[in-house]
Amino acid sequence: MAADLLLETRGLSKAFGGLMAVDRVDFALAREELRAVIGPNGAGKTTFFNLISGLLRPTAGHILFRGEDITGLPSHRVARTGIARTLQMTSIFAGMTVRENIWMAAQRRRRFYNPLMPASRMADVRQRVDEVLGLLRLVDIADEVAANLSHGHQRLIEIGIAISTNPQLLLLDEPTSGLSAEESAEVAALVKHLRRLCTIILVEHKMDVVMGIADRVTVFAEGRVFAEGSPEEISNHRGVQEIYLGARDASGR
Amino acid sequence: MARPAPGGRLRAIQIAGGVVLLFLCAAPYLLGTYFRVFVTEMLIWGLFAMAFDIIYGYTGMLSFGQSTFFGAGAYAVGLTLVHAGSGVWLALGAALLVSLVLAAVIGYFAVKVSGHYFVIITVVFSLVFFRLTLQYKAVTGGDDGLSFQIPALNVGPLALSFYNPVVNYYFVFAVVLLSFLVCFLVMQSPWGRIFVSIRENEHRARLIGYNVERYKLLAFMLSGLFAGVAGALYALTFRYSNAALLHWTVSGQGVLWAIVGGAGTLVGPFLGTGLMVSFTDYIGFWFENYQILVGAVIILMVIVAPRGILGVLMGEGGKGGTSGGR
Repeated sequence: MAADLLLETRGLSKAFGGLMAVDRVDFALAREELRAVIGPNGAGKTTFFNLISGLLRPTAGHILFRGEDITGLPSHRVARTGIARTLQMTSIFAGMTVRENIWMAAQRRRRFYNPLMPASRMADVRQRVDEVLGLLRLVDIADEVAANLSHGHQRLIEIGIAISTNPQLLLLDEPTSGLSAEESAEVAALVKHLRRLCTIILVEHKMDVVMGIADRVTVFAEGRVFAEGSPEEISNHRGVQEIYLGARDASGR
Repeated sequence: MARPAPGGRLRAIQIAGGVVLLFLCAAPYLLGTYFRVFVTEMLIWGLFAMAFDIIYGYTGMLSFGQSTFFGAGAYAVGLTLVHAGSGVWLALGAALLVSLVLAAVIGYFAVKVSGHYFVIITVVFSLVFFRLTLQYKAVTGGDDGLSFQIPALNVGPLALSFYNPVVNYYFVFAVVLLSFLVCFLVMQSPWGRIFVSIRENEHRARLIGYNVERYKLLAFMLSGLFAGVAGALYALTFRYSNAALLHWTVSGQGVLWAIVGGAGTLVGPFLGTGLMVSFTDYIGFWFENYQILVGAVIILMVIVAPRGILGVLMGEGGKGGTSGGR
């Protein structure tokens, strides 16, 4: 079992002052899995992601990736171990073209760069950029400046940036937020496709997106793992219905 | 990464650039003493503004501390000539080394912070070195400065004298051109792209896996190195160096020239330097309080043409959005 684990957290905790945003979370993720993480607002999902990707240092606990302890590594080193992520609020290189955005990530796979050689001569990087542009169907707008594109396209660019580094683990933080139902369905289809390339953890608010594509679902509530199981188990779980639907009622939706 | 301008315009700009380059190649034979010295000085200050633009226009960090490296380059040349009795090549080497090491040390601390804190820390470092230079008058000459003789430059069998204005001009021109070409290559290379990505979104660059602090430091060192080269050329041309060269207002000049000319490019700072210094010289002749007009021009530029004169020429004008927030 342990050999198949890609990511594991043990007693992972993060306190902000007196508030336990993430509270002793034990989490295990198998290779090639597509895991959804759901939970009401403030359940600690994004904090959990921030801990894994090194944006925050945990107050306690450990993170193991491919059996190695990556706890406390700075985020750029975490990224180099093979973990890529997207953010809830779109984070791309707004002033660059779509191609240049993807390029930045594809170029990163090298360790050293010759400062006197034109970047455009890196044939392998160029090829990778074309592949990703094709995969995300961004070829037609490859030379548009990202800032001038729609929100939906910008979200796609961010996913493109994340996968261009060839990650083993992809953390997607609400990739459908702010998208129409139609666009969300497209993203869901894309995620389904991406799982052939890497293991994925998907934080999502929209239950229908999650239930269609995830292998397993982890429910966070108040910083803890509240429940975990197959999509069917989770949707029939009484406790989950209560906290999840309860919180939705409370937030007025 | 400059966006390609609409075809015809780019062509026109390239042709204009070629004409200017040809002119610079022949300048000492076309110009009288006054304008020859003027062009020499423009090349030096243009290089200084270009060096600043590596850290600002490309990497997105506003430094008011580049005068420190300019002064360091100038003093490295002066002091090695005076005390070590060395030749010009060694003096130049000393200037490169001193400005690079100084940029590494200051940069090491400065890149740990960003935004306003970075601006402040560069000003503070710059003031410290300005004060030190004033203080150690015995070595630096302080306010009065340091004058020195320039020995002949040995190039193979030739011994070229810097007192010959034509030699002086071509030496400055060659070093500036070489510096420009090196910077051009670096900005086209993966490093240049990483610098721009840090300017565009440092958070994302880090999440991709770039060690953002390391590349900020590299940009800062490159910027400091070429500011030092400019300072060395200044010392060789004017055979003089003083504490005022290290004052942060000298950095401020470079900032203005780069922004007016077109930040985020290598040509823009030269253009800005040439135009702004000509303008200042011209109206300074007629109008005592010319600085008010200079200020007005800069405010106007920033409002109507945030991408500078080069931006206007390229047809990207004031309608922002193409190069994102800077």
